[in-house]
Amino acid sequence: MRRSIAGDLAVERERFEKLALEHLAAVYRLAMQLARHPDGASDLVQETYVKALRVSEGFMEQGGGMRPWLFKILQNVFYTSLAKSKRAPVSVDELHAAVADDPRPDEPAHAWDLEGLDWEHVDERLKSAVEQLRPEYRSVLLLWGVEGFKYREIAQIQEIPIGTVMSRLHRARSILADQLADLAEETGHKQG
Amino acid sequence: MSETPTARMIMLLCDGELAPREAEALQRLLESDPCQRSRLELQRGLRRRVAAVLQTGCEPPPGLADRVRRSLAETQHQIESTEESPRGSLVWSWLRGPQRANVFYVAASLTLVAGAVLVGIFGRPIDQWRRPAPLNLVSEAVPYVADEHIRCAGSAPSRLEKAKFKSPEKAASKLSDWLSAPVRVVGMTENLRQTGWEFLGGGYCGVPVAERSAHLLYTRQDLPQGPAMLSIFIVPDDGGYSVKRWGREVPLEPGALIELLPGPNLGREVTIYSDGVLVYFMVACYSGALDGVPNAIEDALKAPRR
Repeated sequence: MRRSIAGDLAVERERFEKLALEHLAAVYRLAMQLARHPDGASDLVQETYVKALRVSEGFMEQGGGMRPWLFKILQNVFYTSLAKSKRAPVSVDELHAAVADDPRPDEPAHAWDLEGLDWEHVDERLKSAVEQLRPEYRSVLLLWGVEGFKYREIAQIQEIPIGTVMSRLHRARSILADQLADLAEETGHKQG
Repeated sequence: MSETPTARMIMLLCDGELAPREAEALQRLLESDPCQRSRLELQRGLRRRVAAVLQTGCEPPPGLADRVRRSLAETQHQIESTEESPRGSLVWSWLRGPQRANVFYVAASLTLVAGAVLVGIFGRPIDQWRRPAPLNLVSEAVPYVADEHIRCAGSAPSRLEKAKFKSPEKAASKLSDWLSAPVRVVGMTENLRQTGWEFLGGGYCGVPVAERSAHLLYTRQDLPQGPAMLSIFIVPDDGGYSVKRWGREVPLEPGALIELLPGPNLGREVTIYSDGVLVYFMVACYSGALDGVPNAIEDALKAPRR
């Protein structure tokens, strides 16, 4: 009898492993955006898969396969470990930043002057700007830009209101566009 | 639709989040306004480049998939060992069914409320309550650490996986964070080196307490029986631990060092020490290989011998 349980679990685990590891690259990408270091990201990925296996009985397919579910677990693992390690009170800056996450009313489109910007050569500046963003902005950017999730799906994965997804995306893109505007201006000056 | 589209509308159009009719209207508006159209192009260009930047250099390292597979196998092993019986799991899965679980929660809540009322009326004051029975480390933890030690000693991949922090300083720092208490790896290493043991590494561990254990590994080459490995498992001391010796429950007191010799229920000699915050379990490959280790640790931690 014991052998049969172990056998079932082994089969379940193999099936889980096969389905879940298909998304390893995507899970690692998100882990890198959160942990920002290959070692930390690998630890995060490992812990995510172990957690996922432990709760795999509760997995229900809601469209999109296992990927959104794994992302959700990864987010939870990351923020739980962050909460454990970060016992210091929240700084005033962080509070202000948190307030800035609130959905914003419609505002007029920014008038960035990016004319003449060579898109093929902006990656370095963009990379550095992305690295300076807070993890929650980077993860929203990744889910939106690379993984191609809709706002509703991102909201479900991150367990935040859809308005917060929109405001984070808007804010992150504004910051990046500002950086590119600076670059365009610098390039313009050099050329001029 | 207003005559001047907002940043939000352009963002929604770029992201395909507008309803078809709204998207069409906005597209028409943008066609007649080159300035606004350039903003849409900017958003699209930004999205393409952000996607490219976020993917660059984010490929998983070559060994990660295998590492995850090993962890999953280890987790499965742990799940199997904690699985009580098929009947138990059926009952549990029945209780966890969505509707039955609700009934169960309501019943449990009512029982708790009734219990609290009865205790309030008939119960004794809290200071007269007996403490719960202590957790017996010999039956609850020691066999597991002995098994885990044997597993790591016999498997190079398991050893490498466990000994992920190669320097004592990094191990001390990482494992202290993990256990939320100061792990004394460095002092032990220095002392153990004098007895011939070299620090191999340390890492997170699920034994003996799931998700709250650390494992330090040491190796020694000069024993007559051949190369040997020493494991030190560390768990938080939540209090209430005891050790059963000669039929008596002996409480695990902070600062006391307890040596358990191999017997019918214990295949390896295990030494236990608690500094009041963390409990250390020491296991070696050969009986007798631990010679000098408890003394070294005792010196390091200034523990009185029991």
